[in-house]
Amino acid sequence: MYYSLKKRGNNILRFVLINYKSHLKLSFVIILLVLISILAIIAPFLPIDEPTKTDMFNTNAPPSYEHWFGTDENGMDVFSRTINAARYDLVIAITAVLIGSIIGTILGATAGYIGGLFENIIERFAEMIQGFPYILFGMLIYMMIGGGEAALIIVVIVYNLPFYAKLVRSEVKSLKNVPFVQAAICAGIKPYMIVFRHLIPNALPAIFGQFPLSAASAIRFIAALSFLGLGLPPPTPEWGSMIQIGANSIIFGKWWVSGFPGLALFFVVWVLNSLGMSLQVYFGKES
Amino acid sequence: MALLKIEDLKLDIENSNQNSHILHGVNLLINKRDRLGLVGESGSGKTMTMRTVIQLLPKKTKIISGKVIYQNQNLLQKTEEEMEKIRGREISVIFQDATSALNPVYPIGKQISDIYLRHKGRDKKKALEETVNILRRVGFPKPSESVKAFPHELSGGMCQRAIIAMALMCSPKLLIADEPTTGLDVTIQNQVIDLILDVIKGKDVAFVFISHDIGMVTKACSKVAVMYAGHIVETCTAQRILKKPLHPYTKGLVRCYKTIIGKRMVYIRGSAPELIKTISGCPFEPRCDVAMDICKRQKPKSIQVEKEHWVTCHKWNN
Repeated sequence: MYYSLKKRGNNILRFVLINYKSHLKLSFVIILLVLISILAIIAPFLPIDEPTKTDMFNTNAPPSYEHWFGTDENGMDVFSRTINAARYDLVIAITAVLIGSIIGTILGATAGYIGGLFENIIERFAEMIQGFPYILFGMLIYMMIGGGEAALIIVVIVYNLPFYAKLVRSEVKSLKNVPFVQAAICAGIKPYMIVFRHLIPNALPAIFGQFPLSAASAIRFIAALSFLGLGLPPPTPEWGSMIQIGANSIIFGKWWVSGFPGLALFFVVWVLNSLGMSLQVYFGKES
Repeated sequence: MALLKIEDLKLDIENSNQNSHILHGVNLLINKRDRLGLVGESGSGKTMTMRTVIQLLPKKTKIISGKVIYQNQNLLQKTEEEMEKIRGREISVIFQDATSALNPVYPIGKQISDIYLRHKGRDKKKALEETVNILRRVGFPKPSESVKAFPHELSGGMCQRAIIAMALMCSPKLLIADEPTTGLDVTIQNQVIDLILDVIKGKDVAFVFISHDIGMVTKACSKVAVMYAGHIVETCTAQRILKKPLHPYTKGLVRCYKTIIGKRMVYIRGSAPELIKTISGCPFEPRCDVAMDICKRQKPKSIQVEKEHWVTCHKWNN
């Protein structure tokens, strides 16, 4: 496991470009993700309606040449909103997972290295958080600081912490007995150096493989909380809240209002999940 | 001049129901500039003895009694922070599997200079210089380029050289090589041992060579201690042990080593005793061809047969 990172991990993009034939799925998924990211970045500069521009004379209009995905009950263009929502969802998810995984990794590595009571406390705390329903926790945060990006980020961080702490702890536990770590201890290297120099870098492949999966589940968290009104407030384009707006009119045959953001959500989560899976195969191949 | 003195070291591993006894009162004396070989079959406690010295014991081990005196200080009473300063600087270890004893994600130069930075000051330029110097000394052809090499780019022998460089970085007083040749080609085995001896030649370093290969040990060391089931059964000079082994176990080892090609293979019958049992007599008694009545009942004492030749056997007790 610990060999793969240095060999290829640093230039995975270049590797995929050269060897795309042997890693077809991985390259395909990476291309899709790059396309999604580009679309999200250039969304505000595209010649389409503003995502929050209302058109009171054209509400709940079906998909047409003018409005590709139709309009919602406020007359806002669903296509523009779906694309712009990717900005919010992806940025919140990635920031939060990044912060959560960094803190979780450090906690987990320390717990795994020190062991004993400290490890037990971290473990039990992690289980406590994992056992708590995230929607309830989202409500709690909503009551404390109100909705918005900050609240979503906090919820996602808190639910990613225990996951990464546990993952890294188990990796570190097995790495601790690897000869080079023992050799470093024998050479009198200080414990914090051993954790940051030797243990965490060698646990990175496992973390990288997990990262897209966490981002996917974070996007689901964000959408679910926004759907319930605990996340981003409605005028902001966000898949969860967009689905909620259209949810009541589906039975009247107006499927496009929640259908398209739902499809976009499904697509992005699928891409991220496949990326995670193929990354795990990619990193696991040499172990 | 005694550098390291191990006195009556007893070590147990605590299991849930029964303790296994690893060391039964090991006595060992290592002088300055000594080259001592520690021989014995696997499970005889060679590695455990040396791990006690550097205080790097696995969990659940318990030191029952004994002292490890290094330059008039008992290492067993040191705290972890004090030990960190001794490890690497005063006592360093060469591990057996070279390729896995180096961190795969960092170049070797960084790993070697880390040790310098830890023990000898914070000047990074100086550390790099010293690293290049030591790599040249252990025989890297282009040391200033090899500094940037990753372990997977090096062959097994080169990795072993890098490990030796790491161990010698801070010019330790005691160098412990824990089966440094296991897993290497026979041709490289001799090279590695020669290299270690060459590098420490003329330096103020004592060298402990742990191995199960009595031939290798006698080539490399001046003194040999033979361990069996947590006891030191014989201590002797290297030349003498091949010519005149006294303890039946040592005799067996030497006979195995001297097996002539074409003839029937020689081995010591039976196997090492279970660690859980408490041994009341001589530990080698069940496998011994010349065992007497007293061997079952009483533990033999260490007897000095000649200058620098001790043996722990009832047969010589007269």
